[in-house]
Amino acid sequence: MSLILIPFLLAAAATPAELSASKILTGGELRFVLPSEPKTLHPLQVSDESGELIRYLTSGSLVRLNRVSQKIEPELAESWKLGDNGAQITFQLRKGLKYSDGSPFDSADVVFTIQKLLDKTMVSPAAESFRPETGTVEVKALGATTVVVKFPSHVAGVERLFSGLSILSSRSPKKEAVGLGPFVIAESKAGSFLRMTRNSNYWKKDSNGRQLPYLDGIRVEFQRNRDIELLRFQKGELDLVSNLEPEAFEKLKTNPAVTSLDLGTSLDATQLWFNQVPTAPIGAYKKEWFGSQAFRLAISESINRKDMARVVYHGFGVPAAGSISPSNIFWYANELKAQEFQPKAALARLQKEGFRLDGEQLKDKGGNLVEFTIVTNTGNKVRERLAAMIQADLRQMGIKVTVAALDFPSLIERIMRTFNYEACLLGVVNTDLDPSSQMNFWLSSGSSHAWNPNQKTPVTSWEADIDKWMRLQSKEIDPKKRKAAFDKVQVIAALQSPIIYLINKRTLGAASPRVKNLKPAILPPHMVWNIEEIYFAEGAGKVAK
Amino acid sequence: MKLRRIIACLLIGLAVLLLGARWVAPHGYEQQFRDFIAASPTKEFPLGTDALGRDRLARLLYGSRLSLLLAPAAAAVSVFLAALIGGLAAFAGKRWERAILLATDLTLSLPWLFLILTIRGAMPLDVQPEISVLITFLVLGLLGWAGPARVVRAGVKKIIASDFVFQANAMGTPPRRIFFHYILPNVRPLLFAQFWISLPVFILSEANLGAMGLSVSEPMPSWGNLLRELESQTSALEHPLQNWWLLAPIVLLVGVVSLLQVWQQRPKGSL
Amino acid sequence: MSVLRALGRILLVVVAGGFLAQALIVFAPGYSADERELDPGLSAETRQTMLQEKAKDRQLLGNYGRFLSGLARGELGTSRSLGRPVKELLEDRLPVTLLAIAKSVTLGWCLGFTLAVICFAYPGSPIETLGLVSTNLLLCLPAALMALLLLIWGDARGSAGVWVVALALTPRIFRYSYNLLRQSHESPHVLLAMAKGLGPIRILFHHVIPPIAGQLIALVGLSVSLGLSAAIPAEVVLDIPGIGQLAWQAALSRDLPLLVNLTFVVALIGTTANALSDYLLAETVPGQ
Repeated sequence: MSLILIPFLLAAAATPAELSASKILTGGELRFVLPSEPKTLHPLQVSDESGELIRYLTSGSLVRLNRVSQKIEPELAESWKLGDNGAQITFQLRKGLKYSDGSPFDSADVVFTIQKLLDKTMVSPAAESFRPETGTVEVKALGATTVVVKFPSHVAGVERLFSGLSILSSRSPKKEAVGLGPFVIAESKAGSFLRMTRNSNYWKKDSNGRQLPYLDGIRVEFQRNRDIELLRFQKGELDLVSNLEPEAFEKLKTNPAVTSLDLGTSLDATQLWFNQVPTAPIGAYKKEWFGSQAFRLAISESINRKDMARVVYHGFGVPAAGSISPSNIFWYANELKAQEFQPKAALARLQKEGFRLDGEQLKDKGGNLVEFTIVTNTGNKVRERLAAMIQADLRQMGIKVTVAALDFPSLIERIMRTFNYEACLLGVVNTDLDPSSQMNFWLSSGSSHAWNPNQKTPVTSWEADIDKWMRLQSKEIDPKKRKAAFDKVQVIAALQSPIIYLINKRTLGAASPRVKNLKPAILPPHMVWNIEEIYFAEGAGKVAK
Repeated sequence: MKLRRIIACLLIGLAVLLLGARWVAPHGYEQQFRDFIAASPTKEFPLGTDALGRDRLARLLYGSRLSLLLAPAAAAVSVFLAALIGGLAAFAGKRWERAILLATDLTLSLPWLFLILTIRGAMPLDVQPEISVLITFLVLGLLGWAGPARVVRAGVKKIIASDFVFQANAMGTPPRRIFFHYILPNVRPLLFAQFWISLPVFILSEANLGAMGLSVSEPMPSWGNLLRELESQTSALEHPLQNWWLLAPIVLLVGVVSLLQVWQQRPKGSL
Repeated sequence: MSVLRALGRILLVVVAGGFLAQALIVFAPGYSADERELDPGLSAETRQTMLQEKAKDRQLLGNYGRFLSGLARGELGTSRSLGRPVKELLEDRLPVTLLAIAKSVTLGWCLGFTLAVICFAYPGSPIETLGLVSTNLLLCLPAALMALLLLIWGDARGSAGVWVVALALTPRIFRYSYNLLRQSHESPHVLLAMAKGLGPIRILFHHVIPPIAGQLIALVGLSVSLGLSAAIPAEVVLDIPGIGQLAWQAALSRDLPLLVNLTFVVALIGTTANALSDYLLAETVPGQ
């Protein structure tokens, strides 16, 4: 958990183009699978991972997050500038761009899209992120190529909001079916596959002036079963696999016909937390344990994260220090260290709090046996194994842990509604680098404040402190000051351990060697974020199976 | 005669092995040897270790115990219900028949998954795995009757139409006696068929319900979830001979079920 | 008259099944939850709306009444998780599953019944043992494992689904028909026929099968229901866009309109198959 990882990451990411641009062949269809069918193809309404990827491939946004450098770059907007203390952003648009059906693109489309997004009837993650708590957002065009968006107050890191916003056409009769992205949807069969072909009106050109994208098309199939996906990849029926489980990755690594890609430590973390909701239907003495900093820290110290990384992740994971992964280059608090495995210190800590070992069992000061249940979701092998390892580690401490795997809706109901659980083991997927997206999680009043959501006033003083720093970072404009404030949050969270962070897994993938110019990144869409530059070694030539 | 005896010995031997799992298996089923992950068989671990370094032999022996005890019981429950309900449908008059057929059709169409989720929700989170498995198999036994009841009904109808039941009726034999003494014995082959199908199917279903949170949880093994573990062992499927130890649960299950069947099927004295 | 009665029964099963299914779904844990809630970006307002919508579903009778009256007008409602009209979804997917089940049931009967006849013809031989063990093996294989094996050994992903369901049906059909054949074989009139020195094929078709025809027909009806339930895991594992996959997705997201409609479809298919087999039973077995 140190700086050593970061240079590695950069090295892994900066894969140079293997051939000079003139040797690049065009054509061919890239094939991969997604775990589920997109729930909607409307670019403003997507709410799931699959929909997000299709949106990314078929539409254009004003700016784009470079997944490797983690910086915002110009896309449909040539440039932008912030004004009014960070409450206003002005975009300068590129001229002469066309949608996939040939209809023109200008500021009217941007205004149209944002207004559509702000419509109250629009319910989607994209729309939610644009809606301020108070006041309204205003958007207006200043001529054909300038757009001004005004927020009621300062929005931290406002430009990143626009990197996920697809610009719809205000004029095309085909409405949201046309886009500014490198590909257009050509054919789809519900529940089965979706085929995209290149957008002949796409605006980007390579350094030789050749029109992008290089590929003729993309075929995405929907397939949940990863074992079958892997089998098909090895048979050459697929060109890419991403988000591989470590076990599968290890197997692929030995296959010479496959390029295996370790993209680096992901932003996602697996975490364990105790239920601290005062009204939860669990025993009062258990609430007292879960509310005790010493108890939480002792549990954290009793878990052998290095073993987890080694056994469950086959070495493709690192002990996690907090909510921010070390791969989040700017926001990671460097002073944080992952908790070491210190069972003796943990026991001493517990004894100080009045816990004692009675034979092989730990009891609290009231004589209650220390035992609790961890809920997690079913069907995730890695998580079930982590739970079994926690169980074994805590057994050494005299603590009896029961693992209850529940189906996802039942689990959500328990952890967000009935609060009828003791501890929960879950993975958290982070797709946004900026902590502003975590407001609802850190604020004690937030509905995603996992351990005790929706507090009217902060129950503990440290939660009040977190509230304070979080609000400060969101009001601040200077990135350095924002970072300093958010560092405080990370340090308090580590000290209090309301959430016990376990492992940041590595993002693993694999590709057929014929796929060239991949710049795989830890941020989604990991392998295809630079889709317009990807090409096949043999171009449109037939693939030898 | 000889064959039956050999089979009986084998089965008894297996039962002894399972009951004595504590002494047969060198390690506990939950003990993690974190330096021996997914190891091949050695003297220490005769069937290798699993992804957490747990002794596969111990897990197989312990996992088979509950399943082998409860699955036949659940299968028997479902067969008994099928016989009773199917028999009643054929035997107790048109009105009963219609009501029962309606109930079977309904039972075959409903999404029982949600009942199972409700049952799980009603149990405490830290329910003892043994109780959880017991309930799982009970649910399986109670829900499995509908299909076979239809086949049983068809069989009973045929017997009712046959000469000897007609004669018994003519002789004034009470209906209850006819039902238990003339009819049930004649649908036995159907009931056995149902039993032999249910046994492995229930063992697998137990694992499927495990995926819904019912049934055993970590670290306890069950035969069903050992079988399902195979699903991710593609290398074992591609090269079964090089990975024979991974296939042990399935070989053992097929072996046990087949032995039991042959034992039941060969009437004493034949062969 | 009996046709009308059969139709009435089908209707009753479908309507009652839909209602019970609705009750089971709405009161199962997790109904009020929504995966989207985990997203920290979701506003409090949206959360509240989602919760209220789900709470309304607990008024079972009113909802079901509205649903049925909509159905009478040919409206099946809209899927909540997929945001598409249920009618469209069913039109897309039902043919896929029905065709596959028709194939699987036929294939399953060809395999299962043939195997039963072969084992029956060679009692006590290694062939019989092989038949028993191989069908047991099929029963012991989880659907996903079977699908993987088919993909490893075979190449065609399209037909793998049909095979998975057929191979799940085979041991069941085999078991039943084999036991029935054996029972029939032991009956006096068959022994008599054998004593008369009739050929084995003649005995099979004229003396062994006719008495058990009724039960075999009931089994055909049942195998459609069994095929339907085997299609769910097969379609899920192999990602075949049929109603089995749809049902699984709907169950995971607690998509009430879709689930109730799917219960209708399953009830309709199962009950119709059973009604048909009842009708055949009445035709073939005298005294019904």
